[in-house]
Amino acid sequence: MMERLVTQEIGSFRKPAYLSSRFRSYKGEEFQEVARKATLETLELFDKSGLMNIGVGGEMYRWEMYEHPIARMDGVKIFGPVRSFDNKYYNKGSVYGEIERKEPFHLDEIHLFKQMKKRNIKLPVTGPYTLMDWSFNDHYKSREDLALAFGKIMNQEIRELKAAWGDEVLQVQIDEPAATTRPEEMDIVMDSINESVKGIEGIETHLHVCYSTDYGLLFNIAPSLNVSVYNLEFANRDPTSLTDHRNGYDDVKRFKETAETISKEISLGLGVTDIHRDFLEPPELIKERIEYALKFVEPERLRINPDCGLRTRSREVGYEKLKNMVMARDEVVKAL
Amino acid sequence: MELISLLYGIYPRTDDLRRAYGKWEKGQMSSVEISTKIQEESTLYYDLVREASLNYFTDPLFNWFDILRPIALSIEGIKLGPLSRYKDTNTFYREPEIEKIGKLGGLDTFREVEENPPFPAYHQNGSESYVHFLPGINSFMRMSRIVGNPPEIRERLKETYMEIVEKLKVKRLLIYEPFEAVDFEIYKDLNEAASTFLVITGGMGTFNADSGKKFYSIIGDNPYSYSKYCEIPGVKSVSAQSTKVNDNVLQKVKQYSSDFDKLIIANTESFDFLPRAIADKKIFSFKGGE
Repeated sequence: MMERLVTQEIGSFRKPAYLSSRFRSYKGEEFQEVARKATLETLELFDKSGLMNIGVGGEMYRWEMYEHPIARMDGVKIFGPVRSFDNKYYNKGSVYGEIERKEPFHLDEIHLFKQMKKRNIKLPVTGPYTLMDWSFNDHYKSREDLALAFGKIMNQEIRELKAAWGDEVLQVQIDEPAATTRPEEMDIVMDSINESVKGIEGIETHLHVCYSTDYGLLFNIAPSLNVSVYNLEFANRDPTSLTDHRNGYDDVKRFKETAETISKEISLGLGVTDIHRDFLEPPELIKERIEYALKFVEPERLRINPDCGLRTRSREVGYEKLKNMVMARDEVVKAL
Repeated sequence: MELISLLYGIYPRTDDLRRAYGKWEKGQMSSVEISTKIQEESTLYYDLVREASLNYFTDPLFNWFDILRPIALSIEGIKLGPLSRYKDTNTFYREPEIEKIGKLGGLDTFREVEENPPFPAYHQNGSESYVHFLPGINSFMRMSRIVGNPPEIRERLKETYMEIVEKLKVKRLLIYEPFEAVDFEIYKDLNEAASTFLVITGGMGTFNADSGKKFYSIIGDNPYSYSKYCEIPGVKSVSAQSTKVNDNVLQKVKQYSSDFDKLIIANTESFDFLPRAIADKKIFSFKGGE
């Protein structure tokens, strides 16, 4: 029987200061040791919170989702940081030639979890469309060509991760925050994601999209998208008062309608805590959000998660948010 | 054909300035110290644009956290809302929430403001090439959440822009419309008051050419469609979306050489979308060279 209302995190969690303050200075064995230590400490927090799926322990091996894979490719060069907002920057790559994978992106994480015999993991990888959208394209003829080239690279990566993982099903989450920013490019989103998982057996593919102005764009391509679980942000758009109607969760109904029209089974990962605020959603509020979603999605097809990675919050706040999420879920399950 | 260069918008910050902002945000640097740093960095920027022989340039706007913020923070009745995506980029701005357009605060003197480095908003260098930057009123409205009465807000914004131009004694003004707009009549008075560069996106919308003075320049993608409304048409030719240093400007504008005596060559967007190292090279490519 399928587990009901599986709790999961989305990916990143705030790094301990000893790791974040010297992240780029650590090299080789020393880096592996420190990243491992931080992962174990984060897993302790996750265990304490009662989280069922532990992701990869908060992405302690990665500085951030874009630069990590880009720095491990040929054909892309980082000339310096570009502003995201206010005084926050990211290193934006320039694609100047044919892109190729120089080295694996996440094999060290898979090896660690395999060694620890942790099976309840979900491995986030950056999606090909987002990699394309966040890069300067000074080589490929079109955005589509570049997205597909990134898709091929992600396919190599996921294939290798799966091979290292072994026979059991590996949950892979493709992170595509840029997925719905250009409605006219949804075909490119679809083709490049499908390219990333093409021909790979034994994986359960999740897709994470957040802060979209229209999830409908995503649901429109769902019938042709090789994705089983849609992990989406909702809490950010929902009021925090207790109420009968959860305005932020209107799209859950649209998800249900989409699921009904397609032959394969798809699940929804429901964002129930806002990662941009320290406000601790009380379990009663999270419970209401889950119960609202259960009006449309059966518990076996509903997973419970924060809106996005919790790296934006302190480790203490991140932990409390996860704890409340698990408490709320447990109460809902009891009443089922 | 004479090519006249124009660089507008937010210029990328140096690593030094980014680090200084980090310190200031953590309270390790005072507002007076960061203000001095902004002034120093602006001076270095003016040295650079002089070296690149640019004919016109706006303020580097180093202390503008986005293209609306200092203006939004200077007008009573506007609050900062949530982060919002700027067009289809990976860059975000704080969406203004406009209830009304009230009193205008000081823009040209030192002043601490919330959620933005301290003012002044402009760091003029006194050069004849210096151009004051203002976000277009149409785009300002479009990028905001309007809580109050839209026509009233629009009218009051127009008056407030005039107040800015008068208070700052603006001689040359650049109005940037990053979104397609239909109403350019709104700039008639501003255009009378200062020599105005209007940077547009898409078509020219509604503008009655007989109703007043021509703009000094209108800069867009198709000079044929707006050349009659301005003294010197311009084209957005130097890409802020590519890190290739040579934009082949001469090649791009060759097609206009038989139709225009003068043409303004401008960037496609704020250079803030580029890494600083690339921006510093690109400013030498406005007239075709590197």
